[in-house]
Amino acid sequence: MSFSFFRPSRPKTTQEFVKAVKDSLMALDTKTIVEVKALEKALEEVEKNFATMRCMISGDGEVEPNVDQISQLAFEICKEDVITLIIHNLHILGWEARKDLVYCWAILLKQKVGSTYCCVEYVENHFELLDSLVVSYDNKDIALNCGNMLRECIKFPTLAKYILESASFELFFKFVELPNFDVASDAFTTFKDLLTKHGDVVAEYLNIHYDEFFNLYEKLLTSANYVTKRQSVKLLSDFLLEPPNSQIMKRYILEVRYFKVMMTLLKDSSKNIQMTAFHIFKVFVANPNKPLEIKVILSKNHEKLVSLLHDLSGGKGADDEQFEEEKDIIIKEIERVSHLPNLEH
Amino acid sequence: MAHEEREEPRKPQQFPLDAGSYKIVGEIGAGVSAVVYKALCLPMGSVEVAIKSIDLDRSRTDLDSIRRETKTLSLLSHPNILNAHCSFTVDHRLWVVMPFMSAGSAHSIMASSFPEGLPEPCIAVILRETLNALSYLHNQGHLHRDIKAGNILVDAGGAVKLADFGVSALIYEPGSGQGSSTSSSTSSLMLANFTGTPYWMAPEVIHSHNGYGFKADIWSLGITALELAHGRPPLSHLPPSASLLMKITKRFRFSDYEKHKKDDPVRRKFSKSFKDMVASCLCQDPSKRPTAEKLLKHSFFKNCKGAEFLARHILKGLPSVEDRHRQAKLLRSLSMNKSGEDGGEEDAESGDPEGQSDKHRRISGWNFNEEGFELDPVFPNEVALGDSSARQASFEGEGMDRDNVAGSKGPFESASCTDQSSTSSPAGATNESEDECSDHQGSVLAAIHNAARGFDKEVMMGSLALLKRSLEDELQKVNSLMSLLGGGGDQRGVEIANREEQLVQVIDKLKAKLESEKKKNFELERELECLQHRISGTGGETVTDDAPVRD
Repeated sequence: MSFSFFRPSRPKTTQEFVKAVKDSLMALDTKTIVEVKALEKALEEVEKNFATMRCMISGDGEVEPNVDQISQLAFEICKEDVITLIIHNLHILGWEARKDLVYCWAILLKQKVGSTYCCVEYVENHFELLDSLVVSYDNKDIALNCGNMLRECIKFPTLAKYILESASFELFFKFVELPNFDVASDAFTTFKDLLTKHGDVVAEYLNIHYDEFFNLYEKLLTSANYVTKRQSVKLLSDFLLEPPNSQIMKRYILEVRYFKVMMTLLKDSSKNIQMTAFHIFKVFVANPNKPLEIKVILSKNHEKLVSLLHDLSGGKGADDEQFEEEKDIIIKEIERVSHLPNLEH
Repeated sequence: MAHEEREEPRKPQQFPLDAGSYKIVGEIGAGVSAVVYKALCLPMGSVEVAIKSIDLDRSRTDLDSIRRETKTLSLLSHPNILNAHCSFTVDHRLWVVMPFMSAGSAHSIMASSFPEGLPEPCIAVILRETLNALSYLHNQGHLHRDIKAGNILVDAGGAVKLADFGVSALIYEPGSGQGSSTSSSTSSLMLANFTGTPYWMAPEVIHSHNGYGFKADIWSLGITALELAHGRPPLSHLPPSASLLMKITKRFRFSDYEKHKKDDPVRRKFSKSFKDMVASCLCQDPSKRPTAEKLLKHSFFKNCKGAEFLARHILKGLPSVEDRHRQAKLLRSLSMNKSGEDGGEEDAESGDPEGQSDKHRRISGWNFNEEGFELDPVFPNEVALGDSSARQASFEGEGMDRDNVAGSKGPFESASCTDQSSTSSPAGATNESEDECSDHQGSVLAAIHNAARGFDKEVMMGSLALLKRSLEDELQKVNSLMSLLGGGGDQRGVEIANREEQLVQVIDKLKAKLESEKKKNFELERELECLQHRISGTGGETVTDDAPVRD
């Protein structure tokens, strides 16, 4: 089978080419979709065009890509609304076309035209496109492609901010628990990017949506699904302990409710989960301004906690040394709290 | 849809995502953190599948690497690549459901029916199909990094698929004990070296791989070709195998090698185009190795047969993967010098437990001998001084990683330290155990080589004494294995009796093998004496009479 199928009909100018891409996507209208033969033909045309586009962007091994051409391409696909067409037709496209498309997406998004990222600007003016991409996690066939496109978008703070604050963000709490491991874990990767890529954006979001977010997050931490539990504790320690989130962290560690969640995770049957939970638990304990309730819980459970912590051991090497050190400090603090006279009630 | 001509339709959603829909039939592979089962998918008319069950809690790192690997795989689609139907979690295990490749890996086929290697037309089919997969992978910007017979799977119809993308690591390996986990952890490490998912890497990044990365796969393909041709990877005396069977059959390969060098008439003949194809893969300069696409056009693949040919010629009379796995497992449990986790490694199929570092060593340390269709070791005293000490270090390192068995380090060490200069001393491998016999071979070879140049008689004597001892060890092991089996009559059931029968056969074979090895040893000793004569004859350096006593 030949791989040079796109060569013969390569149009002359970028403008003409983008026009051809647009026409081929427009051909995927409702009329064609009913007609099997016509749809097949239209899809073939789209696939051919995306292969050509990929070739323009990355070169074909012999010819180096032309930077001016790429920048013109980015400009034209915005001008012609091709981006909207692409996202709306993603679910109809074939496997190969989707892959080429995702490949081009990553590069075109990063392509500066003049002083601006024109494709990013286009998406900023059509934020609903991001919602479409998020919702597509529900469609297994295109979930991974959309995930990749989304993560490219999330690299830009404005787009990440939109998704965080959109109604679709809540869907991620559902997607990360989908039974299909590929899709669920891809959704988790995107979720993680959203919460870790742009510290300031995340801090701002968490400040405003504190209750709503941690309410949902608690469900992940107490999920019956091992992977969800393990990933979400790890992610929590990743973003909560970041400097821009220090205010949120300080608020979080005052909450008895979340402290109890951490206590439960510390007792988990998985050592991996225990170890990660420790790194959040320790912040609750080390907090010099622990609320009385937390002190009472520590005091009541201090024997169990101390013996549990004694049994907990890290791996090897420097990490382990640090862990042991921290463990000692935490144990001492628990002992100290348990001897406080004014906790009797 | 149009693309379906080139690619398999992918409908992962067809397969149910709950454990209850699958009925496990039997175990067909096992490792430290993963088990591979043969299973039936009940709602789909009980179609046969393979399920790799990975214990996620065994891995201390976060799940990112596993996630990345499953995703890499699910974004690939090619008839020659083993894809997963679907994957889902069952408590803290990840189940990866894959097509069941009933004939198992090319390695396991050889181990079971073609110990001396496959017929050349069959090799051509297997390599061509593998190259198809490789060409697709490379076009997509991926490296496989672990091409070997153990990762090339065959189904009942003779269709060939490349496996092991981390998650599907080493499935169907009857011999893959803990080895599989070693290998899969290496491969996940490899993947972790990438920043981001390779497929989505920018073209310029991919381009930089063109120079070297892709060509490393081509090298491995060349090695795999030799493995398919000889029934074992070249120089398989390098990393040892702890499997008793493998150890015995593979030990002292160097003597075969010596035989080959003397143009033994028994040697199999391979076509010129095959040799030429392999030689091009094993070119020391990566840039001179052909791409996968180019290799496919090599004359060796002209008139290449198809899947039915493979099915007709090598799959007949093959025991089922389940049986092969059961037998390998039994052998393993009988292997008495199993020393903890490391000792249990079954890396015979690869000769490659150290993964990339090993490949690297091969690249720097061996030359392909097209004439003899083998890799020739480059001896320490033939390479530059700095180079040789580096190699020596790698031998030492290897010895240390691989075992803590104090074993029989004695004779060789004492013999070697008399007047060895450190650079020419292969005796750097002092921490060898019985398991490390492979390295002894290298040492012996090197010693003979040295002797031919007129020095280091002690080293040679020491090496030979050691060789003799390990032969005796072997005999002892075979004896104890036999007595163990002989006395095991009151074990449970007919099944055991059957296996015993099989094992007795195996042992008979091994005995014969041992005899021939002994013969070879004798010949070597003769040769040694000859050399000694020559040394004293030429009045070379320091002839001493106090060579280590041979018992």
